[in-house]
Amino acid sequence: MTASPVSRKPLTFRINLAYFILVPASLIALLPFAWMILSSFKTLKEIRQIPPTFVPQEFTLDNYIKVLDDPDLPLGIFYRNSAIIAFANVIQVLFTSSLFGYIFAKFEFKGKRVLFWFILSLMMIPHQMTMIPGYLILARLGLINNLLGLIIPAAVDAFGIFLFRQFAQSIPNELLDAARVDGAGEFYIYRRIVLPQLGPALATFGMLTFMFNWNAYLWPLIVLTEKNVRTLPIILTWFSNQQVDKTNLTMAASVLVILPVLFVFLLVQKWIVEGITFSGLKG
Amino acid sequence: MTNATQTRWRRFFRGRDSAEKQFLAGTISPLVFYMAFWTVFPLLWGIALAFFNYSPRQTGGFLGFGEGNEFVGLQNFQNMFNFSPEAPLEVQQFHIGIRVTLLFAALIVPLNLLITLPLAFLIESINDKVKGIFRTIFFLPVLAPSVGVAIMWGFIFHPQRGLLNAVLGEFAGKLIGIAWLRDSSLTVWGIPVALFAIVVAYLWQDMGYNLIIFIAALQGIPQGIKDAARIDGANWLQMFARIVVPLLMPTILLAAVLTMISAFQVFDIVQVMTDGGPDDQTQVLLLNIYSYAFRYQKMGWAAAVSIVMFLLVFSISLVQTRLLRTEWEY
Amino acid sequence: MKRYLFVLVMASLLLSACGGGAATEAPVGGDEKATIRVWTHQNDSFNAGYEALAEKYKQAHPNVEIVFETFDYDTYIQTLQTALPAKTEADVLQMFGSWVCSYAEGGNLAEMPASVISLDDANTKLLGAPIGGYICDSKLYGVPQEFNIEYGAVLFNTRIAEEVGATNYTDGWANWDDVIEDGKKMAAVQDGVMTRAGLNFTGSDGIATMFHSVYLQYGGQYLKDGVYTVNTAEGVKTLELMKRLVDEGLVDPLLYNDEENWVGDSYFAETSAIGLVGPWAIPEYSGDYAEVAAVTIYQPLPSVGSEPTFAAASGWGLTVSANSKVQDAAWDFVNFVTLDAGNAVEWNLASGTLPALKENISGANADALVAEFPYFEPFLGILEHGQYEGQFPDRDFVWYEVAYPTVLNFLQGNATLEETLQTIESEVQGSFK
Repeated sequence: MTASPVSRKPLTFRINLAYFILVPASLIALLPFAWMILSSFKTLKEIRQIPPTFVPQEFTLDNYIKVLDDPDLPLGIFYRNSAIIAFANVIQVLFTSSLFGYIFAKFEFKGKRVLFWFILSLMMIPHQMTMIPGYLILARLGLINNLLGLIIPAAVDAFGIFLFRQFAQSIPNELLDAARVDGAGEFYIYRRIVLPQLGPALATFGMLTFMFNWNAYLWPLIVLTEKNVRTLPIILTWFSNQQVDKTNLTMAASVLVILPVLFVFLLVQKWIVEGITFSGLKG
Repeated sequence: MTNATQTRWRRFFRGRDSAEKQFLAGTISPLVFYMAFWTVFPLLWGIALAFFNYSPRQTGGFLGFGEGNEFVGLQNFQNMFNFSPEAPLEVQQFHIGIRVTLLFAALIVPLNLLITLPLAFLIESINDKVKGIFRTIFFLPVLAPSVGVAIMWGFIFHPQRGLLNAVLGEFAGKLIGIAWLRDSSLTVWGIPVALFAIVVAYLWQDMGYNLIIFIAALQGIPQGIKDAARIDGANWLQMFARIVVPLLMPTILLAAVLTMISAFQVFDIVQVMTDGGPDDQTQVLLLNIYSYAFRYQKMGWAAAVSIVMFLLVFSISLVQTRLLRTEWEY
Repeated sequence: MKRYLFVLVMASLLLSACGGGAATEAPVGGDEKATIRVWTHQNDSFNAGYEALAEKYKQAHPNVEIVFETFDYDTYIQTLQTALPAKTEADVLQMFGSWVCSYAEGGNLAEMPASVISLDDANTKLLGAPIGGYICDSKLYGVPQEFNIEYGAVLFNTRIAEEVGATNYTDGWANWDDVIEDGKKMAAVQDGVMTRAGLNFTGSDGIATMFHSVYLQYGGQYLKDGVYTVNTAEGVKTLELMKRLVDEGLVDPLLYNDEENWVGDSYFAETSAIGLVGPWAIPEYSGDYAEVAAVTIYQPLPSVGSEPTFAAASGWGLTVSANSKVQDAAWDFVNFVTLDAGNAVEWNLASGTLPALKENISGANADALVAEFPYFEPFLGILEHGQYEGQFPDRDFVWYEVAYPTVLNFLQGNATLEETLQTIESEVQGSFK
């Protein structure tokens, strides 16, 4: 079906209206970021003055130099540790979430409902309650101050299973059955048919998981106390004592923490654009 | 169906059964074992806490229970029903916590959906090239670490150095010194302004999630339907109301449930921006739990509150699901 | 193919991760190499002091390795409490005095060996308020390193005073009227919005400590035999004084409190002319705010009673974990850092804190302190009037969850005086079980 000329008008009208809303909305969304980035270039004095300035009057790179050059902060090691944990967890979580999401969507077995609601309810538990026993287990296994301590327990993500179940439901059963009839094994089906269908979901959730692991602050700090295994977010509060707050340094640190996540996001973003819609068969 | 095909299908269904069983056994059992170890055990321990007077600073008996951490049975739960003004501070804060958290979630879910769904729709409706830019912009806040976000917004709301007051001051022509986050006497329609401030900060950071979910879902609407509607002369409003919303209902429900669950879990932002103030107006449950678990040595009480909070969230999501049950599977 | 390569790369990274986490081994005692792990909270000057002393110690004990791990304040509390049940905590734990007894009574801290110092000697060697928190059930569990003083004197900006013509301070404030007169002048208001506080005392430590100190000065005893009382005539007078400061325009508690314009930040940014905060703030800020530090003096506050009594918390100090496998070595290090007068004062000099050792409040060491921090001088004289704030089951709760928010609420005009005293008393008493 080709678009007839009469359909052009509502299209352009719609587009103009969209921009009319989107542009101001984007500015609002970006404003705090702008504030944060600009603040990272300000001196401590300027950060604290009343009334505040938006654009730095006295532009300085000192904050970044301070963060990057601080002898107490081996940033390279922190970046490495964060990357290891993040990548490992992304891979295993994508695997378990897509696999079990698919299973919950397309298979029946005894206790499925119960198991599913159990997994769902895991998302609602405040983490403070499981901190101590979780830590106890890690200690018993000798995994404190070891990156594996943050990787092994993180293999299953309730939210992921939930999400992938949702997306997997729209995979046409005929596709799966046809493969089975042709003699394909279940894992083969999962790998060759289900996974490609879940493309955008994998990219999206993979990125979210990356970000979540990258930004994780409290738990890594408690489990990894030695400097050479610590992760990056520690630099976010490194420059504030109990009450002393050096916002300009903290903002510079925040920028340094966000950059890799931003990078990953931009990579993945293209993938979603070129990607396959999860409905699989068009038209 | 020919004989050959019949045999093939028969063989297929028989084989399928055992292949399927093997597959399920091979995947579900490891999952169950894994979760029993890493999730169920800590969970049971956390629940058991609620029946003790526990502090991590005390050494206890088996698994930390007993001895210094005495068994108190249902006492923590009984205390929760103490509504008198002389009730211990933690009970009073618990009641406040429930009210504030429910209020917060009730504000967040509709506001979030009202912002993200139309926004996703608008983004999907424009030129492919520019689409990516807008998508990135609105998703950026999600990428920022919570600590940074909270400090940023705390800064914006600062009474003397904040962006908000500076902008208002420009318009008013004089210095504005409203303490958005600290003045307990500021309320709008009975809701504390400080809570609104947290809502704004949280929405800002959180909208990216639902945006992506809705965009992915919108991409899944078959092009044919969209074209048909356009040919029929539907304008964008009708497109939205008659086509997008009904088709996306399961996704909307998903987003609503997930947003609700995470709204209940708000913590980082509140702790850094207001720490429960002013005057307990933003004392959300998780903050309450954290304070009593780690600052004030009442981890048993905190565990009891956690259980209540969990039951609350669970029942709300059950209700949400039931209400739109027919559209859950599509 | 690419996928497998990727997995291979990941696997190798993972394996390197296993190696990357070198866990500290339980060292053998005696002459062999011992590793002492020390946990401290984040405070640059405090930690610089520790590291310098650790260097010194290592020179005298080359077979000892000292490893520092630091955490920001909130995380430190959680880390301690998560690690203790699992017994993975460090050997030496820096603690704030008011925490010590709750950890000690739980069996987590090692008792001070008599070979290092006995309880009686400790009481003689150390000032009352600092050591107070470290004594639980007549047993000693650690050594304080600083005299934590959050009330008694204030940071005073002499440049602003000159600018606005405030002069009472030059001869010392005789009474609160003098203070109020100066403070009023030094405040600045624009369009009805306070842009500079005259006297910023509305931080959490400021309010809570001031409340209890002034109560003592009026002759009251808020804590006696395990009973907490403040709903008394002294309580009324205390709150009236504090309210007066607000009413006379010295500070706007809505704009100046613990969360907003916290006194340390605010004072050095010159958005507060006078600030109630401990002397540790000065070295913390003087690096970035040299000009303000240069015009700052510490001005003692007048007492409403006959003695300049004040309540003081038991401050930061070092304790040893009961689970430590190197307790002897750990105590030796603690001894070196805290009980040796020269080392102790070195730490005070680095951290900008007042000494906890009696021998350091006069004599050569004291002179060195005054030389570095001239504003310490008036303090060194009054330290002996400091009274330990008292053994609360949960002092942080009383201070930060009850006293501060309730009094702040009152100062902001949202509750009556009677209500406030009543609330504080019942909530604190309710927490004693």
